Amino acid sequence: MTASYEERKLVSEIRAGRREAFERLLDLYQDKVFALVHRMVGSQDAEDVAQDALIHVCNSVAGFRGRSSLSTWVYRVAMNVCLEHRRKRRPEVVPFEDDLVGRQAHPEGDPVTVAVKNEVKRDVDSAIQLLPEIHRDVVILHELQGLTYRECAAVIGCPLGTVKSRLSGAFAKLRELLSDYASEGGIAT
Amino acid sequence: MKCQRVKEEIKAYVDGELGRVTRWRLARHLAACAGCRMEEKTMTDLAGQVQGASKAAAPPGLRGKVLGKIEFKPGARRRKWILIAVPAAGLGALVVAAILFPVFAGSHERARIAPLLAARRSRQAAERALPSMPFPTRAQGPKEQLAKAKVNTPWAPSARRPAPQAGDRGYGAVAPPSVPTTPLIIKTADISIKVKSFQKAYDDAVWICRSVGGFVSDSTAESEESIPTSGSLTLRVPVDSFESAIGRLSRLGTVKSKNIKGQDVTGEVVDLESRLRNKRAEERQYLEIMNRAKRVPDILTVTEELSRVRGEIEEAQGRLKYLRASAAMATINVSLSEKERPKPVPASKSSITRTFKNAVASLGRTANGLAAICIWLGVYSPFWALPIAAWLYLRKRQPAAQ
Repeated sequence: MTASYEERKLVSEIRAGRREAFERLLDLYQDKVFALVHRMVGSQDAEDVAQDALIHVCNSVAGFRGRSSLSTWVYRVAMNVCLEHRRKRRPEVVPFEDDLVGRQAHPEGDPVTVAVKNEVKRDVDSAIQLLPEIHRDVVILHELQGLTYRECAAVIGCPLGTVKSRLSGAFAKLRELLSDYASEGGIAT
Repeated sequence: MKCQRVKEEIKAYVDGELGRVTRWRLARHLAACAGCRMEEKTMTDLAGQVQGASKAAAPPGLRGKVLGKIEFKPGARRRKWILIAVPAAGLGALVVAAILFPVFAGSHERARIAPLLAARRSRQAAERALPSMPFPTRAQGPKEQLAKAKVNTPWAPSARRPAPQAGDRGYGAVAPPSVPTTPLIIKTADISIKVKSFQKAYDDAVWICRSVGGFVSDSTAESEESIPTSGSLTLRVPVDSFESAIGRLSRLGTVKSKNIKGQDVTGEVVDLESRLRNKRAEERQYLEIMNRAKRVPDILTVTEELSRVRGEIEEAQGRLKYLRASAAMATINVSLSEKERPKPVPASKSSITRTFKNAVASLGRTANGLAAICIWLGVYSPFWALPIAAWLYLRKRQPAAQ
C-alpha cells in the first residue's frame, strides 16, 4: 500500500517548510504515536519517548518516499525509537498502570456496569503486558492501533506469515489468561 | 479442511486477513462444524475485549513541546542511493586518478625532456654528417671549414671538432700517437650449460676453442660411478672470435646461465706507456751522466739509479704485455653438467601417502594465495576502507526509520 494523494501533498508541504503542515501531521499522529509508545515503554517514559519519536518523525518526514502509507511509516519510526529505548534500559519492565483505566473511565452509564467494564479493561491490559515482547508488539499494532497484517509486517520488518503466526500465538496465550471472560462469552465493552 | 488447521487460521479469518479461497474453505468448514463455530465466537469475543482495552491519549503539552523543538525549514528529500553513490563516486575518482596520474606525469616528463631530446637528436645527426665533410685544405683553412659546419648545424661546433686523422698536418691539433684508436677490453664470459652427454660436450667445446685459434688453459671433470658427468673448462680464444665461440658453445645444450664481463684497460695502458716513455728518458739521462762521470762514487750512484729505473721499466713493460695479451685473448669459463635423470619413484609409497602429500602441498598453495589476497587488500585498504567508513558514518547519521 503506497501513500495516498493527501499524504504526498502533506509531505510536500512539510518539505516546503510550512508550519501548518507540521501541525497537521502532529494532529494526525500524536495520539496514535503516544498510545503505541505508552504500551511499549510504559507510562513512566512514555511522554519523553513519544516526544523523541514525534521529533524524529518531523525531522525525517522530508525523506519519506511514499512506498508505504504515511501512517505505516510513522509507526515504523515510532517503533524503532521504542525499540532503541528498550535496548538502552534492559531489563525491561513495563508496569501495568491502574491510572490508565481511571483516566479512561466512562462518565456515562450505570456505576456497576462502569466498574465491571473497568475491571475487564484492567485484566485485558494485564494480560497484554504479560505477553512476550514479540507477541505483544503485534497485538498492540493490530488490535490496539488497527494496522492490517501487511502494515504490521512493514512496521516490524518481518514477513506477513510471521505476523499471522505471532498473532495466533498471542491470542492463544490471551485466551488462557482471559479464560474466565472467554468462557462467559465475553462482555460488551 | 481439518479442525486443527481451522484453529490455526481462525484468528486471521476473524480479522478478515485470509485469502479468498482459504476463507471460502474455512467458512464451509465452519458451517459444518459446531466446535469450530464456537472457536470462532470465542476468538471474536476475545478480539473485541482486547480491542476495547484502554488507550492512552497524548498529554496536552506534547504537541507544543514537539513544535518547539523542530525547525521549519525547507528540507530536501534525502535519497538513500546518495549514501552509496557518493562514496562510490569518490572511490571511482580515486581509482581513475590513480590510473591517470602516471600517464599525466609521464606526459609532463616527456614535455619537459622533449627539447633536450630534440637537441640530442640534432647533435647526433650533425655528428654523423661531420666525418663525411672534406678535411680542410690549405686553400680552405680550418676556420672557414668550421664556419661552414656552423651554418649547417644548429649547435656550436667549436667544441666538437672532427678527430684528427693520419696525414692531417694542416689542422694544428695533433693527439699523442700512443693513444690506441680502439679500446682495449679484457673480455671474460662464464657459461653454465646442461648437456645430455658430458663427454661429448667436453670434446665439442675443445674442438670449438681450437677451431677459432684458441687453447684450453684449464679443465676439471667430476665422475659418478666412473662416468664423468660434470666439469669445467677455461678457454682462451682470440678476442675477434669471442662472440662466435660463445654462440657455438651455447648450442652444446641448455644454457642455464651466461655472464659476460668486459674490463676496459685502455686508460691503464695509456698511463703505463706514458710512464714507460718517462722512464726511458730518465734512463737515457742517467746513461749520459754515466758517460761523464769520472769518480767511482758518482759512477756507483748512477749505476744504482739506472738499475732502479730499468727495474721500473721492465715492470711497466711486463704489465703492458700482460694487459695487451689479456685484451687480445678473451677468457671463457664453461661449466658443463649432465641433465639429471628422473629418479624412479620408490615402490613402497602408497597412493594414500601421495594423496596426502598432494593435499598438504595444495593446502600450502591455498594458504599462500589467501595470504597474498590479504596483503593486497591491506595495501589497497585506503581505497576501500575510507569509503566504507564514510558510508557507515553517513548511515549512522540517518534517522532510525531510514
